[in-house]
Amino acid sequence: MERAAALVLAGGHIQGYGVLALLRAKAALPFAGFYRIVDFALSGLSRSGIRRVGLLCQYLPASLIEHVGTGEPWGLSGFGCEVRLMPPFMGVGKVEWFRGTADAIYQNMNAIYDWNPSYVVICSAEHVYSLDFADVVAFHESSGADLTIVEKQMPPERLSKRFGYVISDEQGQVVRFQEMPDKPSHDRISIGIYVFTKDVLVRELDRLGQGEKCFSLARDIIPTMVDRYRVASYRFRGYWDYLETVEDYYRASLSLLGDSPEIDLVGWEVLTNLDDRDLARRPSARFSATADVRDSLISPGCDIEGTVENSVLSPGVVVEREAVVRDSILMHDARVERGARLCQVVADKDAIFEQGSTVGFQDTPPRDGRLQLTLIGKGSVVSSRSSSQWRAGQALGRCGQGPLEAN
Amino acid sequence: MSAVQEMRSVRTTAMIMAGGQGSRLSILSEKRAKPAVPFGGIYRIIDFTMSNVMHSQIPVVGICTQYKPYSLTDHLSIGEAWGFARRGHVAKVLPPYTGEEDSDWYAGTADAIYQNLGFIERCQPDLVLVLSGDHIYKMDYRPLLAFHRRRRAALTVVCQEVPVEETSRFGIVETDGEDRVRGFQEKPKDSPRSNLANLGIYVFEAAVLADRLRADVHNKESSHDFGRDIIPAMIESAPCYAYRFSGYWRDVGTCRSYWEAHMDMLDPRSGLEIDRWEVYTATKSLYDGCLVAARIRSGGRVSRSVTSCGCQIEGEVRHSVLSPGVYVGPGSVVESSVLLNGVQIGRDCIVRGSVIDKQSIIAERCVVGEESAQVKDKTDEESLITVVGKQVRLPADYMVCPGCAIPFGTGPETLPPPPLRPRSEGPVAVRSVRPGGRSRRR
Repeated sequence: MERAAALVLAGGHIQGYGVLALLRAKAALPFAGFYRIVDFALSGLSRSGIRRVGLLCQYLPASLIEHVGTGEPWGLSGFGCEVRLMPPFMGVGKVEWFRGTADAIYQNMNAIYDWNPSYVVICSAEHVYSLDFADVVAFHESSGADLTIVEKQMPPERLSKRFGYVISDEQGQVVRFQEMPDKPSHDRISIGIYVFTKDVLVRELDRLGQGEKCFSLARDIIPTMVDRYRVASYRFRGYWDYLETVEDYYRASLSLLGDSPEIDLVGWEVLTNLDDRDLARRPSARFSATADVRDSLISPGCDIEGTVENSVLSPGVVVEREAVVRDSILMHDARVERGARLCQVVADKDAIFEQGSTVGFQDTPPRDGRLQLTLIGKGSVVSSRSSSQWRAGQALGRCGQGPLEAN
Repeated sequence: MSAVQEMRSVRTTAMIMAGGQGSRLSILSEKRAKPAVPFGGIYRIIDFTMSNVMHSQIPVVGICTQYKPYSLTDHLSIGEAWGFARRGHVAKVLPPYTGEEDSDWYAGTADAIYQNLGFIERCQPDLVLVLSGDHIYKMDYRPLLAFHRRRRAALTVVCQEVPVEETSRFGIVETDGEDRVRGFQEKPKDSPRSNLANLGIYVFEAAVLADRLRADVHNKESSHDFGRDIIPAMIESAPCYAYRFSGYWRDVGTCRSYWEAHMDMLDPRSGLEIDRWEVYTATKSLYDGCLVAARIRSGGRVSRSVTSCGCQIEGEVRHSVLSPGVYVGPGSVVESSVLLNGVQIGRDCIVRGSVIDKQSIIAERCVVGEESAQVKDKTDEESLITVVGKQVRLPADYMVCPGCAIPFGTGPETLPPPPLRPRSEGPVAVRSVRPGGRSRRR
């Protein structure tokens, strides 16, 4: 019998990412050059000694499935180890998609029966964090709880109605759970990581089988459990971010360039799939005599002849002579041709900025420091000639402001 | 018919000679076989030959190892990185073994193949391609094999024209107008009869090779070496041809040539184009502890260089090749140098014209190599290369003069007071690294 198995919620469609989420789940979004967001959850689970992981994926799972593969990059394949991909499926008389997080788990209860763990860890693949799950499981076990909710104190400006709030007594017993209240009255939020005693999880989800419409874990199941079970809260003090919008994503990415970034990829031992876009076969990054690179992350396979400042470049990005890339995130194999100028751009894979094109470039940034991100969809070609020649059909767009106009 | 089609029905087994201690590459191959020495950021020297075999679609390769094979065996594993771990493909590391006749270490290159005739014959090849594990080049072997078949050769030797003054470093091949080999001089001291150098890449008819090796093993006069014994004997009595290869090729057998090949990597006109060669490597432990994009921090400058994963640059890096996990501190200048995995350069150091092996730590304000800012270039034949071995620790303010070589693991406790000069007396066996003669250049 396993001590603990994990189910990772790799999510549905998310708002706030514009063209970046058109082709992939948020969990599969590239981050920090050559990671994907899901790497944080998988690396954390693996590091915590959890060997059986189910990945629940519904929205555009192709990128995610390919990236996770057999789980081998995270040491989750081989004897006694497994990453099981759990997409929605049809059955006799069953034609439903996953109707919510609880439903997704309910539909995949077979894995729980197969693995038969004492505890089930449920976490999200869409968050950036490093958590010792083993410690949470040990806490859960020693506290004798049926459910442990991992909670974190948030600064007042981050409190919003999109979180679940955890109100606990001095012994760490949860007395109330408010999911998405209109006016948050507390500052401790659930960060979407739970440890269930397996039998309790099975019992609660069985309500679904009896026809109850409790499809969402956070909305329908957990708040009602507070009165009926022993629900404990585990205080997490480390870094955790939800990256709700592309602006959050952008800020978190650029925070990696600071002096001591809170996101510590090496210290957290974050692992990733080196076969992803042939990362393992990319030669070392190349800098020409004209290269001028400051405060940036440069991945393998990059070829830099121009200026790069305060930017994050994924593998294979080419910056030609006299091109300027400032405050930007360029994903795999994007090409910035000679003399092109980019500022505050997030460009998806294979984007091409043709000679002399100018995107989002301002000599003077907005006085209020407000971000003006330009998102460029996968494979889009940005031409310098006229806006009509941008192949806008490929989802080139300025975030939330309609199509990008020529400067 | 293209060489590819022509060779489809011909079975070839490749044998890579990866055995010898790279005595000339001394400090770098002190702790590992020469083919396992890192090269070009993320590669090891043998990756070039392994990738050539792979791209030439030769499905069976044996790698003869002998000297400190741990790094090499670990790196090659079962050849998964080069696609040999699938059905119908074999990559086998072949260490020496003890046989019934107390056969032991490989006596020479030919002996290494002789002792593995069992492996070769199990594969039932028509041809045996004998390669070296310490050459940097990109070659499709299929046109070579097709040439060999068309000429009905027993042996084909791959050759390249070299400047006459370099002929003394090579086996020199004399040919007639038909490319048939008529004579062979091993490292002629004077009056070479041609300038066609033997690159140490051979194609043998498998049956002929087996016969020749079985005959040679009983010859007490023989040193059991291809270049010295087998090939000169075959020229007398069998059809041997020379195949000319004109691409970039370099034997990185000396510190000087190893360093020069890295400088070639940074020179677009050299012909060494790793980025286009599709060189494959094993990444199993390459990025341990440094799986993160290279970070250029404020104050960091990088030009005419390559950087790998996990590098952190706060100083200035010019005209250099950095392996994964290298740190260059603020105020430091690294120029025309090769820094292998995990090397740490403290603040305000100068490192010029140097090769620094894995995990060495250079404390603040050290000078390694030329102190003055004159640009060190590979064309400067007189310049001396400085070599720092693996896990060396240099204390702050230490000075290592050009041409020194510091052995593995040397620390402050055994270093003489600075400046360290080539051949200076002291508790450390500091060796002088001389330029290994003029190097091969196309």
